[in-house]
Amino acid sequence: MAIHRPGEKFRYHRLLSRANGKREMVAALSLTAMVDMFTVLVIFLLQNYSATGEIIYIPKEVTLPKASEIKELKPSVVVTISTKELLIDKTPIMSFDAVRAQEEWLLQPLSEPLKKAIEMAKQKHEAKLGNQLRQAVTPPVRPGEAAPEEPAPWSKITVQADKGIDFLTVKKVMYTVTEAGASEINFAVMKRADAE
Amino acid sequence: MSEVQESGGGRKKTFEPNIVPFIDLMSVLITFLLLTAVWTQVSMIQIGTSIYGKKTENSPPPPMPEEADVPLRLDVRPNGYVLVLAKNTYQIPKTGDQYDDVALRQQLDYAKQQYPNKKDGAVAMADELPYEYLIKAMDVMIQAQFPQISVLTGGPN
Repeated sequence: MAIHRPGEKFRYHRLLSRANGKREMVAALSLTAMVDMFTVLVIFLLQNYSATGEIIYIPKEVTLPKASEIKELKPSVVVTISTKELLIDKTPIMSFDAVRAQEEWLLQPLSEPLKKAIEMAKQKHEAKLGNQLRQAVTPPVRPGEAAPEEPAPWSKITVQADKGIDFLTVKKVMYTVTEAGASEINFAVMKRADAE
Repeated sequence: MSEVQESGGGRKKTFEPNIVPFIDLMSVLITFLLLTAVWTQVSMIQIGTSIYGKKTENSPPPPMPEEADVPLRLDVRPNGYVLVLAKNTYQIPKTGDQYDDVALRQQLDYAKQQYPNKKDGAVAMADELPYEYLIKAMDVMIQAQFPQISVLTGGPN
């Protein structure tokens, strides 16, 4: 499309007028449909926008189970049990077959890196200025008083497991996670389509 | 920017907004939103901070939930659910290949009517069953307003 100085109207353009009796025509592109489409697309994308971004890495071997009574996933240390291997965040720790073969519930190869990951998460949390201020303002809990409702945010662990994995393997991982110092375990699930 | 055209007698006015900056803005916005969009909606289901959880030396035990002395335990067995409420046991066998979630929900609703303040419950599952059924059972329990769920390690009795 030709570029015109703002204010000039196509319909009054000299090319459109029949100069010297010859028929010349410039088709002005109608942008209305495109603007409509853009608007619909922007509204759809804004509705589906997640402000927290992608906070969990799902390997392609993992199919998460579905649930309807769910909470929003918060960033934390993630232990993944896929049908191939066991991972902490994105780092492979041990193979799935090794986990199944082990009779003891405490998985040593998982325990040590997990303790380190929790420690790192704690340091990261404490290094944030906002958290330092909050800690300074909140009075310490005296013995005998009711505990704060929320456990320490760094010690919350998210476990994501393939839906077909046997429960014994999941139990071993849960046991190891608790022994490594986690205070709360959350299971990653997919939102069921009929959930609100 | 808009343009107002006055024609002939000065009465007729046509108003045409300049939509080029609007299209520019839309294009940038769509590109940004498409690049940062997250298509998989992963959420979480929570095991309640329970009295059965591991305690550290310096943390006091969590407060006991109301009516915690009334046991509510859901066993997920290969042949169906078994719900234990106080001294009663309810068998909910599978319908075909599927666990009967509807019947379980009815029993849990009945339990809620009997003990409206009770919020805790325990789930035990057989070792060989897939993890999916645990999530399903927990989901039904949370739907029936028993959000403080503990997972028992011992398996169903």
